[in-house]
Amino acid sequence: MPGARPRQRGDPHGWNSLDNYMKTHQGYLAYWERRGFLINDALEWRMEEGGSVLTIRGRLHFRGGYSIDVDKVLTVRIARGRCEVQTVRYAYQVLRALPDGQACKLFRYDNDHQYRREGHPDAHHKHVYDRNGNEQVVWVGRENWPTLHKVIDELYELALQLNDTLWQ
Amino acid sequence: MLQDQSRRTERIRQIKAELNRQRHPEVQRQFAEERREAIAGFEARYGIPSDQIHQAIEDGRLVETFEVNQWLHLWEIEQHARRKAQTTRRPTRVE
Repeated sequence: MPGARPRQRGDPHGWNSLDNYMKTHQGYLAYWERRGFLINDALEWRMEEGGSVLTIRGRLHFRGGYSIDVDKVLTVRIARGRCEVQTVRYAYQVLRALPDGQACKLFRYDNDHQYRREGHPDAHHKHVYDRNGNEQVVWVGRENWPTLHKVIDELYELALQLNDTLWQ
Repeated sequence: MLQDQSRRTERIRQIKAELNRQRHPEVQRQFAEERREAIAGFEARYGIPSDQIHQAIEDGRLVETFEVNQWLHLWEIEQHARRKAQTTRRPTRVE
């Protein structure tokens, strides 16, 4: 696992107690369920490697045929007698189902590869796709990478722009 | 609102129960086996060893897709597991 950043006050990506992490995570999902946007949470949580690694994988389904594929790796430690977690790897892929059953990629955030030749200073980036499926990789940076909840916010705004029948 | 809260609490309770169940050594062994099989599957499908994924992306031989992200995550956990096993196997130094 890569070295963990020291926790800053209010840093959404710093070390967090597992309890708090779960409450925050489920709280946001409950918010989007309540608003009628999130339809189904099919994320699977796994404790691996004797409890030193937590993974969250699967798909969130949203109204309007939208979904987010999630693959997260968190490192786990015991500090001051409590279980704490910190995200070390993430990939959030946002999709939209097309009438023919195919899924169209809208955008994806991840921190799995640093595009050095393109001048990216670190591995946090976003893949964006135009209508024809052409891809562009845009640097995001370690100070600006989104939480899953920010990705849902972004999807919601995009869905409102793309689909005025979202609530029908 | 209260209903939401109790649903959230119930979901957290379910996840915690599942995570506790997963701590069993047999489940851990099964997860490790699944991970190694998945990595072998990716290597066979793409014809690239896991330790060359980044180089293959650099060279343009491999496109970084969500599936490749999944592969990289599995590979990272596998490397972590190998390092951990090596540390465990290392004999204790007697002072």
